[in-house]
Amino acid sequence: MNISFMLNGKRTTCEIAADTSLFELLRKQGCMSVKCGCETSNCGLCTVWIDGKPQLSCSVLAARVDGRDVTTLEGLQEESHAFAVCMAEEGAEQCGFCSPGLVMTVLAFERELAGRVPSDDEVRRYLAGNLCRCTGYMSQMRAIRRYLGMPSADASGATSPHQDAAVPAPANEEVA
Amino acid sequence: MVVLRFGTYVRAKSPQDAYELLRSKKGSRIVGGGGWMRLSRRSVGTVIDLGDCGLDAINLTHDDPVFGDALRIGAYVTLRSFELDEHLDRASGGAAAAAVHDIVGVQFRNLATVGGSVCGRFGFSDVCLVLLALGAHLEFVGAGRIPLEAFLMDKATCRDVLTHVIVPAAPAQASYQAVRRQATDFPVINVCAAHTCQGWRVAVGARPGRPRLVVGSAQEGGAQDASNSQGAPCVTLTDAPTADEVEAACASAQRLTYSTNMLADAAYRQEVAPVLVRRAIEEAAR
Repeated sequence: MNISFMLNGKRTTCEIAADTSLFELLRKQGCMSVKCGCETSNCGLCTVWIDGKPQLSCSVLAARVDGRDVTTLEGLQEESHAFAVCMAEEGAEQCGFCSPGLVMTVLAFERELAGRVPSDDEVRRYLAGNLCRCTGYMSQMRAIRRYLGMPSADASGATSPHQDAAVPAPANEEVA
Repeated sequence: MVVLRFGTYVRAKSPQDAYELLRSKKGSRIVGGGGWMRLSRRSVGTVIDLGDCGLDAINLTHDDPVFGDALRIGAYVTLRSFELDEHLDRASGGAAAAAVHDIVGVQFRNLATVGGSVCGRFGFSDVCLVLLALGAHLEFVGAGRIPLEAFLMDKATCRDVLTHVIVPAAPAQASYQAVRRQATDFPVINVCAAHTCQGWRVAVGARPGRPRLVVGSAQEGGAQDASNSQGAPCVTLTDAPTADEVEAACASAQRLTYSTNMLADAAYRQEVAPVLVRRAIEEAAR
């Protein structure tokens, strides 16, 4: 069957088998940022946006995105830059396999917040569907706090206003 | 990677169209969000999608024949919409959001649907549990309107098309309680108590069997399991439940059938369920 949809702002038409998943389709279209980590709809690595809402591409039938707008990390290079720098500065990723899904979800969360600064609990709850085997989530939380202008947490868990929350992330060239 | 394999995908033009397809094409199935279906190893001939049929909204109506003021929840409403809807939040005393906000993650809830959860009739379903406690009715193309309680008690395979779930819209007091071994995992046991304009209902689910009412059941003789001849006697609560009434509800929960699966054993569930019933009633009654 034929489907036609917007992929990262570009009209894309393709022939698919009826039971193709969106995950399979996107990788065939060259969107290699989209990963599969579990095969049980639990890990969040395959997160993409459909009409701006984060969904698990592994569990969405490709046929369903006919006429819709699909966004992967490939389509958010500019928008994701600042958060990517925060992740790099906080050592947020180790193997990096879960990172694209995390970035997609954090950026979706930021859009839903519409400028509001969330609490740690809100962040954890929103990101509950993004699993990471490497980090224990501490470095990712530091990156997210920095990016969203949240108070940073010290070792005891006590928070204090982030020292440089008002300072924009430095240019990429400075980061090793 | 989808495990499910099927031959044909059809977007139904209307619920009636979907119903005729479902009844006429052997091996066809309705797809909700697809979150559960993707794990199925069954071969399916045709998958029918009602995504174009306008069933993805929660609408307030004032002339429901049973509830008067009611919320009509379309079968394709996502669990995320179910979680965030303000009308439903008031109508469920916050229990709708509490029941679903630990299900996997936001991305999963953006695709899983109320209809898929209800028609799946999964024992662990937090959606079925909270809707049962709210006294929900279902609307099918073929069977028309039936109470969710009756649908959950029915063991027959459903070859009908669910279009709406209907709950009273008036503000309710409710409490959702559950035990999970891991955050975002299936509940090991779950309970919801709700005091709506229709009175009190208390449901126990993830037994691991389907949710059953231990308070407010409309079934004769209380909520009987086919496998439990004793059943749980029908208990009612007054508006401000007395200590004896709460005890009776807990005792009713203890008499339900519980079984063992990889998440927990029957004895654990039977021990914990009455505790959650008590907590749920006390919290809802505050």
